[in-house]
Amino acid sequence: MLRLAIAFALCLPAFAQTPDFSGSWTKGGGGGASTAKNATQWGGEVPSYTPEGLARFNSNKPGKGPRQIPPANGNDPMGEANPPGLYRTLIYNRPFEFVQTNGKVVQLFEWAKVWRNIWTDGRPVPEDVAAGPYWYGYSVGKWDGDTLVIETLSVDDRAWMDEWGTSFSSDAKFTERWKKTGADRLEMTLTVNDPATFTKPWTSAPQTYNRLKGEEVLEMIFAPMDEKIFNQRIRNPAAGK
Amino acid sequence: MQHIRTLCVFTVFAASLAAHHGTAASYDQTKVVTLKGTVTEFMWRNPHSALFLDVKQPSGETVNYSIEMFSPSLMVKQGYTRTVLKKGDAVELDAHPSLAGTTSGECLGCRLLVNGKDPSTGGQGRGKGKGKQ
Repeated sequence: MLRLAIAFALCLPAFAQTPDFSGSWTKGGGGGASTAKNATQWGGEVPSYTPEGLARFNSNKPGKGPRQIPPANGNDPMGEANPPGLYRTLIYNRPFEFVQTNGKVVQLFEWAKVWRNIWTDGRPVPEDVAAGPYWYGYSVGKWDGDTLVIETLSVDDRAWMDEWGTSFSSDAKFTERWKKTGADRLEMTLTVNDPATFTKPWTSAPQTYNRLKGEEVLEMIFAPMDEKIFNQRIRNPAAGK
Repeated sequence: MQHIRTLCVFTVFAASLAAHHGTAASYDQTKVVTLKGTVTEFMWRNPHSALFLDVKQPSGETVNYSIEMFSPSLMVKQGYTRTVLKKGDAVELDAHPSLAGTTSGECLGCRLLVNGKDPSTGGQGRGKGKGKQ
């Protein structure tokens, strides 16, 4: 009987249920309320920038947030339909779908209609990504109890981390912690370890994502040809240009 | 600016706004302008639709206005279709005017009549209300 009990105990982890994030989700609350000049759209503590990080942050001229100016006078990469990149996508209120398979979790994003692989097959987080950087980075995940912990690196630093122009370097290491806080609610907290940009690791406020009910994840592509026309005929005239 | 001033009704509009890429920075969210005119073009595009209309001025001159609107997916949620606005349609709408004082405005879920009728259904969900883009 003792042997049976020991064998059962040893096998328990194999039967442990991995949380099921499957389904479509859309951004709920979290972050975005601060009016501090250096605040992020992600909320949390106002980042403490290094001189290099602050210079990069100040060179970003966003159309939203405490430093907003008319987009026609700014330099938002999205203004010319460049990719939003991973973290700007995660803070924006466009739906995405989680698909869980053996060995990886996939996020399918409505915004830009792109996907992201989060490798959960036990591979180590690489020191470097030879072909990187990528607009959506390279991500390795592991389950820590009910939490999916995702380590991401090699994110292209031309992307902004949010719509407020928050910057990072291409050496930044990102850690997301996703967990269910209800049947229809996910919560995610982001930590950025980027000594070139921040004087200490920076952590966001918890972001919530609600299950998208009765709707599908659609397509939201910023086509350069459309953005060009929009700039010429709407955005620039609105700014008097 | 003169065109807008002569044509429009300004109303204080306490809008909370988390607008599309810089909408709040481009348009005066405290003012509402009522425009009546004729559609010259409607672009049903992501991420922003756009409406162009000719508005006759008191002087008799006709001025073309450009209006920023929601994306198709959000407009669909509000009951609009890609054919709801056609060249030649008579429209009346309440827009937030551009801060630069140009003949531009923003109509993200604003009051819009097409040939005297409101084509929206007040759709709920993603497209509900302003600033959800």
